[in-house]
Amino acid sequence: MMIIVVSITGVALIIAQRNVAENFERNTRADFQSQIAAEHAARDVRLAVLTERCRQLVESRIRAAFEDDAPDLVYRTAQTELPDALATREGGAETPGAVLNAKFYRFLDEKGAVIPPPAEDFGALERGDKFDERDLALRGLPEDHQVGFVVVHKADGGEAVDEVIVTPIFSRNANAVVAALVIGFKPIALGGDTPAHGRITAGLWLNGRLHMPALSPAAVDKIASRLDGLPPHLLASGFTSLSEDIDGVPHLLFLKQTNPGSHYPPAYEVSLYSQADALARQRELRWEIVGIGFLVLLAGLGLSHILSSRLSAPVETLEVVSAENVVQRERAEAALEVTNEELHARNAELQKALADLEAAQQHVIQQERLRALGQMASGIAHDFNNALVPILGFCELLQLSPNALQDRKKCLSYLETIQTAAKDAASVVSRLREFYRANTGEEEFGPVQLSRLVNQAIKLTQPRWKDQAQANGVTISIVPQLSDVPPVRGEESALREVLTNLIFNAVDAMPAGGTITIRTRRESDCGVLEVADSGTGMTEEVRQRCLEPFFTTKGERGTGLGLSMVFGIVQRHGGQIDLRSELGRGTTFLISLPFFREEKFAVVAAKTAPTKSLRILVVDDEAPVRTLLAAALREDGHEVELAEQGVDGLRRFLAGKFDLVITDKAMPGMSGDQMATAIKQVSPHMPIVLLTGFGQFLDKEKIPSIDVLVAKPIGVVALREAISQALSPAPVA
Amino acid sequence: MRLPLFLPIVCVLLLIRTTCLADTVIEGHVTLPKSHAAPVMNKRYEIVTKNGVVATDPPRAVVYLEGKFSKPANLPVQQMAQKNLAFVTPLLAVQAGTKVEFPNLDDTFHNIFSYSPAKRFDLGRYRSDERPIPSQVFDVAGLVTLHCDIHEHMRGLILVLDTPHFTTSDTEGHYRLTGLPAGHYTLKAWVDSKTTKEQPVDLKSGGTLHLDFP
Repeated sequence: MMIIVVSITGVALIIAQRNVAENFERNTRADFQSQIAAEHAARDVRLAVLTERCRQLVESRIRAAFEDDAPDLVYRTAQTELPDALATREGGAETPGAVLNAKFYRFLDEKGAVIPPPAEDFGALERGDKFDERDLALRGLPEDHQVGFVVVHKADGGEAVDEVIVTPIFSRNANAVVAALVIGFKPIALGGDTPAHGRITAGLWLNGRLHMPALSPAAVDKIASRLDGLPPHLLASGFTSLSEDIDGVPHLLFLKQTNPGSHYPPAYEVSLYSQADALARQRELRWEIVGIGFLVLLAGLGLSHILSSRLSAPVETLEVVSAENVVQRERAEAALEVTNEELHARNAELQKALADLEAAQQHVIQQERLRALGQMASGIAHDFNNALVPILGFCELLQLSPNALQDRKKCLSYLETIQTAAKDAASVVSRLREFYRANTGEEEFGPVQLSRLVNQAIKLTQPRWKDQAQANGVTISIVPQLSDVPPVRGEESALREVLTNLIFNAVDAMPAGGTITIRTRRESDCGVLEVADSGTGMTEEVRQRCLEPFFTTKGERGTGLGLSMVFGIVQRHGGQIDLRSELGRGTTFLISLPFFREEKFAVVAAKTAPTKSLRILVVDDEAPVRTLLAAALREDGHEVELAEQGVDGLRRFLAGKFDLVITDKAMPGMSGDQMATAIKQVSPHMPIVLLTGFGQFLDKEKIPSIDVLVAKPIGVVALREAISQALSPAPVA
Repeated sequence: MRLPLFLPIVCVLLLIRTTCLADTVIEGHVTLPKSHAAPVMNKRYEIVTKNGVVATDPPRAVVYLEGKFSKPANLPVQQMAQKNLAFVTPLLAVQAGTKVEFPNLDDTFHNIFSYSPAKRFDLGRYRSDERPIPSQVFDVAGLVTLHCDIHEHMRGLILVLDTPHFTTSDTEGHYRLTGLPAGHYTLKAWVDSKTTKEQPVDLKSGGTLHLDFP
């Protein structure tokens, strides 16, 4: 019996221990991989920015110097051009170039060898670093940009690894790539610099040497010899290994080539993830389990002992006097009591173990949240960049062609587009806050007009599908086919982001140009938005996976987040997404969104609509504003008289009888506040509402003649509120 | 409107020259490469680089007489104006020693520079109101490629020649060189950055020589 109890306890113990160990390993691995994935996504975005910047740099005087056979001027030109575009200027952090952390540059000749700088002063953007120039050389010039790494000896004797990007320089005069620009950047720091629990320690394995300044030399040697022994096929496909002992602590190790396909020697990023924390937790749990097991065992032994003694007693001690029997029974009862107490204690221990397990679960949830944060961060970078495209594009357009600046209408339309994009950027940032806030499910959804949304998105993305495409010699046209669809329920900026992303995707799918058709259509209970391109289409596999996060077909250019975000937004809106694609024919995205129901809005508006009819004087120099105000006020049953400017308004006020005055602030001649002061002198209790486009810059206290100050643009509801506020008796100070 | 007034004067001048100086003329036709641009009505042409060859499009040739000529002291100033983000005369032929002005007729900045071996210069950023008008003297014969630092697409060519006798053909290739001295020379036709055709000529005073470049 004892043997059975012991063995059952033992088996249970082993199973529980193994389960816990497996869970831990899985969680740590998932946590590590999600951290790595998030950091890689961030680095890919940075690399894309850097290569694009390098490409633009080369398209300038630098190329002219190579085309016109003036190699002696190349470094001189670069020395004036590059610091402006890239380098760390004084004042550091405020200049956008400083973020790029460019450190040095060189040119490669047609054979791929480094063209030596003409003097000490040339080639360095940051002083004092030395490196072997031969490390930058390539065998022949590449057709496309290359990423490599070079060991740099710092002035203070330290060592660092810089990332270099090679950009080929194509000479139209020679019709060939004749040179290349190499720029060295301080690489993005992966993980922390010091090894810590649950954090990543990163390093670079280059030419058989491991650069990992955070580790002790002995540990570096140990990992390097481990890496040396790896077969090549493991190097090619990112390699993960469990438990490398470093200074007695097991670590997860992850290896990935940072410059696949480069003409430079392969560089591998080595990431270590300390398992000390996880192991400590695991050990703790193991002891708890062993403790509980021991108690169970003890209780089992006690029970078996009692049972056996009770069963055998009558047989073995028939001749023993009853007094002994009594004594034995009493003893047994005492023992039972003891066992009972022990069982209570065991119960308490089990409760504690349960609580510990719950804590462990919380830990796992926290890790999951961290991973989501990583994904969010790169998603936001992606969206923010998308929002910046029209802002930068139209600003540049305005700077480059002063004609556009004089065309007021065009200028305003550009500015409106810039504003819309900037607002979108702001809302992207505000999404960060949403992440910290618990989701209450009560999101601010309003009515969204699909046709308006489509027109805005087309305008917003114009720099990408029209201007950029044309610059590449490709013609892309967008054909909107809009039908009359009632407003859908949603957040306008989020839905605009959906459309923007779909348009960008369509553009990317049409490298040779084509047509994007955007249709809106009404169905029984929802509005349908269709974005169809005439591009390359998707294979079945891509079609099934394209909504997954981090899935991309664009190689280094894509983050794999665009469509997954579209999916997320549509789901959040309670809508549905469907896509049809045919290889070589194109792809159509169908998004259906439920209609907006208007009851809620009507109630709000009715609440503030005043019942009394008023005589109102409206003074505004802009005809459209005047017309709008008059229409809105008459709709509410008021009598309205209009004046175009301050003097006219004052004359009409004196001639007529009014209950309320609404006036614009900035007007030619007499301004709104001057007129208000004049009116108050005649009739001090006349309520006056001042409308202004500079709402945030004005303080009502500074204009005593004004009762209510309203910032433009003003809506119908806000107007009603302002009127009721102006008519209610002023609070006594 | 100005043509009818102008013509009689030219005729009279030509008459005076032919009678007094017995003018020597070469005219003919240069076979030009086929233009890849569709024929258009406007007379604008531009500098294009295709397969490593810099030429005008539609093509034009500069025909000039090479020999030993004395350099006049005061050469007339030439202009290489920029208008609508392009050079008004994308291909300008000048005699060595000529001063060329670069007026900016746009209401934006331009920054014309050249890295060509025949003349390196950088005018810096300037607007239409820049005075004096930025200028350069071109002393060395050769082809000078002009760039604008602000407008990457802008291209201009100045062909600096060691001779006062040169002309730019029309887009069909027809040319006419007048007022030539008698003697033994080489007649050259610059077609693009990689092609200059040439043939020897023996010029006698007076009369018109017909010479085609195949």
